[in-house]
Amino acid sequence: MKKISICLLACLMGSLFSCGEAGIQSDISQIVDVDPISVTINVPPLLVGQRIDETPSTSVNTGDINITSEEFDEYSDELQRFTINQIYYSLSGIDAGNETDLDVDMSIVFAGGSRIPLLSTVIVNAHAQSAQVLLFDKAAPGTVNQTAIAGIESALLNGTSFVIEMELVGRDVLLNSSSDTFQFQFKFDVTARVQLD
Amino acid sequence: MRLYTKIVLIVGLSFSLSNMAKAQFDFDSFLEAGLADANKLLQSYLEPAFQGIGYGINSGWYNTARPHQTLGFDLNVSVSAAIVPTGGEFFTFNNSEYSNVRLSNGTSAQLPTLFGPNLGADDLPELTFFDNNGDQTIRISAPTGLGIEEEFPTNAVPTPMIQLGIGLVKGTDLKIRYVPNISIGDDDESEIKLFGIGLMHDIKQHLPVVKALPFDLSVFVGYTNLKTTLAVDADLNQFAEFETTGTIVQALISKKLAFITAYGGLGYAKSKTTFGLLGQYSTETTTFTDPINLAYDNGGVRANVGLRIRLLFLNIFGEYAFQEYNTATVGIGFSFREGKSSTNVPIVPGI
Repeated sequence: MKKISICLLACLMGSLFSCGEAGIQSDISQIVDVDPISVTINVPPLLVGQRIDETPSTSVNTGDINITSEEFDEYSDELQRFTINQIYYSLSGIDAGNETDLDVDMSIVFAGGSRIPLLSTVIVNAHAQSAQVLLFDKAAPGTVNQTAIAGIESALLNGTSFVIEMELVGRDVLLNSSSDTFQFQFKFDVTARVQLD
Repeated sequence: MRLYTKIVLIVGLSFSLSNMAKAQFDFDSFLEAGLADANKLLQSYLEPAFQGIGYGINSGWYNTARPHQTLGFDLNVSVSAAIVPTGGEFFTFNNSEYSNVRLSNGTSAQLPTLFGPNLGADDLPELTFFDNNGDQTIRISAPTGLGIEEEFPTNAVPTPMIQLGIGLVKGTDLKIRYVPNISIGDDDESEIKLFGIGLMHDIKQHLPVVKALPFDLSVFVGYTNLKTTLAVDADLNQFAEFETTGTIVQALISKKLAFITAYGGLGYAKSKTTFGLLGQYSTETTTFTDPINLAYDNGGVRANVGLRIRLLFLNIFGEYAFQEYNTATVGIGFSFREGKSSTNVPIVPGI
């Protein structure tokens, strides 16, 4: 009886159903924060409290970015592709009373050293930015370099890191001290396509 | 932890030990969204599977309306396929019915059930999950169906059965379905047991006029209970338990012509299936105890027709039942000391 039962439950049923060759596909999307980076803009001491046209250029980078999440990691063997849906940034920590626009040139540096420009943009009234700002939208990519986006997606799929390098210049700046350090943070809205065979 | 995978695998054990684990996505998010949402979504998604078992378990009880002679007996194995109706391939997801899960676009959508079509991620609505603070945690494609219909002629839930029938006295058969509590799985950590009992009684003998007519007429009542406990993670004392009970009451009629018996039944059948995920399950923020509890009921008129071919002691039979989930059954078995009917007049002289 036991053998018959097992046979019924296992063999008979096991042979009846299959998902076929198509497998199962699912998209898992998440907004992933990148560690904030500190940016400092400076003005000569003599010009503190005076409006100036621009500050010296400042270069910063995010350090290695590995966009990971528990959800993505669980399916690491079944990932078919990554898609960058949106990239946001947010600014915080500009001292009250300071004012500046920011010219920002962003580039992506991939493992191995290749460097691809991402975007040049002006952040008007950076001191007034409190909410997160949409930098890139897949549906309306604008002037964002698609090659850089594709490179990020490829890096995610390959499990390699990348770095965002930024060169910032303050424009139309009014600082009440000789420097101001603030936080610049990126967020990535990422979709992982999972294919389960 | 791929909890959802495990749940579907457990559910899938009833249907396929190898393939249904493919229907997986991150179930932790469901739990994070709250037990009410998780239960509601799974209730709808898994409904055809459990309803199908309920319909299937009431099938295959008989292949003739003629009881055995005293101590005559038969032993049959059969498999029933409860055909999932078109309406069972999708369910309606309304944002308003969920607390922490929303469609990313729109307020209502048709989502596939487990027995719905296997849709690609581009064709599946996206669900957004929120934590209790209203912050988005993750977005996931709605679970897809398995696309069974794309691979097989019919979209059906199979139920296997094994059954012994014994002739008692006065035209009465006792039917027994029994599988002892057996362990399954690599480490014998899962269990399954089956019990069913049925009685078939020849009522034609009690009907003065009818008893002279050339067919068999009986009444049948049957009860089946299938209980399965499957290990999600035995080391963590996590188990899934599902139990199906089915009850059927029918009037049966059959007519034997040479080695072929045509039979039919009309009556009422109902079933109840419960599914529980037992144990403690932890997400990043919370530990849940016995998080999933699903229950399915169905009941209604059941009419079925069937045909049996008898070759010496061997019976090969098939039947089709008309109900919400129409159910086809095929089986094979053998029987000894079948009852005799003095009113069965051979169509072909000499047989």
